[in-house]
Amino acid sequence: MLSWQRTAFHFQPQTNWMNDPNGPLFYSGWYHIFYQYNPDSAVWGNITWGHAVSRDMIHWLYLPIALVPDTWHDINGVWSGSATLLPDGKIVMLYTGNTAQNVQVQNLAYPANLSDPLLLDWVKYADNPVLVPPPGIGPKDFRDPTTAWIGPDEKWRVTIGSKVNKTGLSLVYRTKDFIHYELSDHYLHAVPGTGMWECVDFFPVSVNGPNGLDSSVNGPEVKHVLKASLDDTKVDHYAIGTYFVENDTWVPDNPHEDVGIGLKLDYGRYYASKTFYDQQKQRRVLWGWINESDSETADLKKGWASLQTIPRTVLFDKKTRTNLLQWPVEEVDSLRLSNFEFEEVVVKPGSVVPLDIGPATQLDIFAEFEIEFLASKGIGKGNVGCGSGAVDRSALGPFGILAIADDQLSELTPIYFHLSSITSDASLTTSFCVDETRSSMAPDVSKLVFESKVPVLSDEKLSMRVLVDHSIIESFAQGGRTVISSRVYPTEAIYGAARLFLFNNATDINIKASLKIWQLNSAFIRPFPFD
Amino acid sequence: MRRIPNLVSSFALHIILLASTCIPFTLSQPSVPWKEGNGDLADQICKKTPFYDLCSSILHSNPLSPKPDLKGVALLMVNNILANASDTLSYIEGLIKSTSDRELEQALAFCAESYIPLVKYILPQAADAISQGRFGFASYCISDALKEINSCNKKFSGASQAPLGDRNDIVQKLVDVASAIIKLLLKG
Repeated sequence: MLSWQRTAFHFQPQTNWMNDPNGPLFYSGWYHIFYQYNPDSAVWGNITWGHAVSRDMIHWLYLPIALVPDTWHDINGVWSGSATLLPDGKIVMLYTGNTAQNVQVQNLAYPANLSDPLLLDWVKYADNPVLVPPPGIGPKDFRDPTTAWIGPDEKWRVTIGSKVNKTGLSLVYRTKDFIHYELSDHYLHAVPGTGMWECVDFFPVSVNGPNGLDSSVNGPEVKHVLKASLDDTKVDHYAIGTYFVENDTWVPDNPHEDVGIGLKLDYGRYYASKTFYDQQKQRRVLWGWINESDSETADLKKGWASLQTIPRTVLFDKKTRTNLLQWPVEEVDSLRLSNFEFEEVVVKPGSVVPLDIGPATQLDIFAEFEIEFLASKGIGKGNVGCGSGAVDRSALGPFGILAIADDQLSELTPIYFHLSSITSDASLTTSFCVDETRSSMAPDVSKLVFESKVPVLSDEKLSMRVLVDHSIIESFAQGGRTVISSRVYPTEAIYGAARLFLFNNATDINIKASLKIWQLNSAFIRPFPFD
Repeated sequence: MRRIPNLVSSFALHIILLASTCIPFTLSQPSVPWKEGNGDLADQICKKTPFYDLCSSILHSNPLSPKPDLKGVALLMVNNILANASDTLSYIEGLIKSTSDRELEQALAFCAESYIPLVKYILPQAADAISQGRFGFASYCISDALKEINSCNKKFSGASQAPLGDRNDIVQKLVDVASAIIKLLLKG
């Protein structure tokens, strides 16, 4: 049922429910991903750790379930957690267990056999849990331990999200053996009014270098990113700042854009993200869970729910110095089939231009836009923001592409820029938007306008990269400075009927668009070919 | 990410290395000729591979355990590929170091990135899998190996085929042979 919604190259299990990505790691030639998985139904429940491996983070092979809720300390759910690779080659997995009494505790697990490159079997530490909620922390406010990092005192640190009243915060524990822990005197950080911090992530980024960094790296050329998934709003936020290992605290570079009140990792349908350090290619890689935005009834009907994004590399944006840059891993290029190029296509105000590229459900689109002010119009006023969608027009926008559209444009998903009026110092504020309001004629799906502001530097053209895969669209602006993930559920614009268009709904400008578009192959994600 | 090799070799040394490394790779122990019964087995197996001569020359120039079987033969072949691939990787790294042609250097670096996982993980895991009787896993590893080698192959076409010469081609043929042998194992 509803099979046209299944994606071709995004990770999803064959059936049933998935949520948070867990314990990603690279080991012995294989990338591993674990994930919150319900083996029995397409809604959340009976949570286990699903498991899959890949050589290239694109072509995944399903493996048997890695962890099941079979002991009192996780009988009500094997919840999220992270992997730490120790210098001696061992692997430590810390995860949250929901106990028989519905108390959130942290448990330790490790591979049964390190010489098995597939890490099929896992052993739980005999004396779990290793951590229980400390005094002052509620039994339901203590979950999602991070990858550990080691300090100059040879002690490992782990941080765990929590809250006190409405203040979101992250606790720090120090350990030498992952069995005995001491709670730090200070929170890593806390931000009032942000509520419970789920899936906290904490990692260093290189200020000047080209690569990702191992979690334990620190120094003058390094900044630290603190990220939290806010339970109250279901949004992933991050902030860049400085880590003080002396007392295990972190402060943001800009307190006005602190964790939970500033930048979002993704401005669309996106949650519970987690990074890991890929030591093979020296990159920091980000996983993110993309929930369905259709109805639960539909999910049960079709027998599956949720996707993971294409993994993204994460780098410090050296140009703005206030953002991270996310970009699909280069291995997605291996899916490329035929390509189409369009040079400087002029799109006049209020017009739509079809792009003749054949099937339009599996695409990698690179687009650049130039603005041509129409002499007759002078300098008009633009809107600030994405408005109520792409129909909301003004002098300087919106303009962009229409993805997963049908010929009649009865269904379409605009991905676009909208510029505000030119201020006295001739700068523009640029909004980057994805408009789901006309994405489907079905009445029971979410139809939001996802909005973001994206810094555009004076020497930069407006550019976007868009991955289209049947019912998911991942849109990257200005090299990944701002990202929006979105789910769409067309009823007409499916399979061979889906099309791609350019559009310009601004009133006072022409658009000149240059595009390079690839058809992408399926990743043929399937069970591991055991004997 | 490019790996800069540590070895410093002069052109002359290169020639010597080239000359001394002939295909097929032979182990340093004295070869033990196949016994009458074994000879039949080698023949039987090699006939079912796409490169009979290559297969046959390897099996006949390498000593085997007293009771050779299909599994032992598969293992021998995979270890042979590993030795050849390691050798080819060193050769690629040497070429990278000694060339000033930027385009060639980039193509070679790409090949090195294909050969490194091959030598570090894929082939050793294939060998382990065969030893443990996990022939499905072994077969999967071998098809991965083929992908990596093909991906290196694609970087060189026509005139610029010169640098790697026959090496990549030989490794590819060896992998094709191993793949055929492992398929025989899977058939049981």
